[in-house]
Amino acid sequence: MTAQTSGCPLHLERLKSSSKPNFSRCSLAQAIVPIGNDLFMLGSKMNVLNLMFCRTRDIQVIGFTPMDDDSDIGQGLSLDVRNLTKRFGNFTAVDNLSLKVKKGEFMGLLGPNGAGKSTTLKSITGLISPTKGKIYINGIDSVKHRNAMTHVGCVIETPESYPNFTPTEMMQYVGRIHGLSNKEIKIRARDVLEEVRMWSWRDKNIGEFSKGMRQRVSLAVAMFPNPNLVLLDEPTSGLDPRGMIEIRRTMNSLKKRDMSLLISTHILKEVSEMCTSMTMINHGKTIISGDVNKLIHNLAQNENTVAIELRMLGDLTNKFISDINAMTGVSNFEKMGEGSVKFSFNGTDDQQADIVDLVYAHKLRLLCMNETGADIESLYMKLTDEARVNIK
Amino acid sequence: MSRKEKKAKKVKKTIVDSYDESSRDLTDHQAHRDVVYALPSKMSQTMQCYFVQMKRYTRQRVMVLSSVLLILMPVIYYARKGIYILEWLLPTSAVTNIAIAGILSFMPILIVLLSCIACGSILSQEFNERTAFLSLPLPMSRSSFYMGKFLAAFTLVGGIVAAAYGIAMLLTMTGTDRTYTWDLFRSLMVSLCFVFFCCSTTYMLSTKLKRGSTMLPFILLFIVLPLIAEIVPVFFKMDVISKILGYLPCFGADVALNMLGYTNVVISFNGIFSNFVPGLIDFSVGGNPIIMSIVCILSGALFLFLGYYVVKRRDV
Repeated sequence: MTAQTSGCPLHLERLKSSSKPNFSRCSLAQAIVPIGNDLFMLGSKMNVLNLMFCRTRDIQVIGFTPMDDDSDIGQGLSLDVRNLTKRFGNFTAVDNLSLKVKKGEFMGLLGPNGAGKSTTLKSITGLISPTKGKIYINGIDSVKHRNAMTHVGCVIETPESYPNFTPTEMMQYVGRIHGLSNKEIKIRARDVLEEVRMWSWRDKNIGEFSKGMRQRVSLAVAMFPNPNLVLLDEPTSGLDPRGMIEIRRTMNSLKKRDMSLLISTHILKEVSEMCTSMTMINHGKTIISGDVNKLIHNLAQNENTVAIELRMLGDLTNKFISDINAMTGVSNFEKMGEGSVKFSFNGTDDQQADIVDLVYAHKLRLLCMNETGADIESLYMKLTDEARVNIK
Repeated sequence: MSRKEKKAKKVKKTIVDSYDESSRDLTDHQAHRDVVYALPSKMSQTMQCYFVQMKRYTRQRVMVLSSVLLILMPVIYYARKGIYILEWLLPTSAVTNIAIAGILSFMPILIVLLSCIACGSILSQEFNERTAFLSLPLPMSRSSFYMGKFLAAFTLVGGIVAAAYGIAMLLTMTGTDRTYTWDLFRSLMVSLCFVFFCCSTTYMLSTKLKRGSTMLPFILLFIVLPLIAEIVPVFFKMDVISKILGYLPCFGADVALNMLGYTNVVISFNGIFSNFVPGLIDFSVGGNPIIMSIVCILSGALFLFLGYYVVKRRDV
């Protein structure tokens, strides 16, 4: 369902008729009101009293969106962090950091230890109050309005559920805080617990669970309100490989639901596998931000030299080795084993294609050509090294 | 198998992680994932935090301890006859109010102790066990979280005190003149005000202490504050100061028992102190229950607010 107001389309979500809007925490609001068979948007400058006045007439307000004075906020963005600064005494953990996560975007937040990743995520979720700057979640100032967190799910610093509670009881707690009815809580609890594969453990005490299972319960809690923005701070830390894979699988399922994700992690593979964009920070400042593939591609173009590994079927003759060594851009040639070679390559794409032609010219069958060097790890290493040099 | 071995086996029982469950079988529409609900009011969220904390208490030792104490009341009451020390600590009388006060004479120490157990580490535990990282990012204000937990602690200790009064009333159905006066109700009110003061002071301390403490607030409320009140009049030999200090909220339970006609409360700091140094200090606790109730409520509210100020500004 979509309503049109002042040229700005607004997606209207299905609203439960029994739910009553809570006006207590917003000064300005956009209200969605049904008049006859049509849905109308009231002006964004309408204040609480006007809304209350509307309710006393035949017009029933069925939903609202608290708004801030800034009119350009939240357009197509799930998260908009502007000039965030957090100081602990004399130490500046986050320094004038700006971050934008578009709707449906999966962003990785990278950086070495102490870079300010967790502080940024904690500021966004309200666990710590920022010294300076503004944070908008779905267009709502999260520092001023706590209800900005209504559609946010988060797993920050490996949170723990109450050990003497069961997963079902945790879902009830979270559901009631969000204003869901008992019936609704039951339906959603089953859904999210099935999604994280914890349904069969729903009536066991969380204190008896393994770390991976507890982490999955935390993830279920985060997904319970059906968030459109998910914030994760090292969600796979301390888990065994299987637990990591399970958590990643669950996170990948979020993509199908058009959710936005901001994930802080040290595991670069997670970013390259899941995220569409990344922001790298160090000493509380943004070093680089953008599309993951574009950043890696740019690095490859700047670095030029890549390591190439060839695996072939057939005997590697001396003639083939001397021919490949003689090719433009090839250096550090190394025979790895039977039918396998590795060398550094610094040349154009055409010259790289010539290598493949050479393999076929020598009547060898190419099994695999692996190019390493221009990946997220090398990008990370390069940027952190540069930052280190700058500090020195 | 010995009891010890059985216990060890029980502790070792940890559920092994399993991935054999099927994934979700509902569509987004069936699971109502596209339905948006309006947040409930602040009061409703506070009550949710309250119920969660109450549920936690039911699974903690404080509840077992409280139940044992309440069960012990009639046991001690009937077993004391012939045991000198118990008869001295829990004096009996044919006058109902005094008999009730005799049964409740452990109250000054018990209220402080229970408040410290219930509130001493309630908040610090949330941060140490990392459960706060799950609750605080939820769309509710910190005041709801803070007040919900406090109300649960207050209800628990207040409920135990009210139950103790009820049990004492039942026990005095026989052997007394069964004249129940309004003083009993007023005494209960003063006791509840004292509970409020103890809980809020301990709760405030739990916001400041990293690991929480049961001992520190107990020492402060049961020993340090009354000791100051007892010693200061020695240096300033003025009746006014002695009277003012008698209204320190730490004497709330003494006042509640005094109201029932039990003037020489043995199991309180004042009673213990006057037994050790008799005649040296002429100190008596305040006599006006209304003033005492107001002092308890105001000081309790002040500590509660201070605690909230700390929690609100706290960076987790």
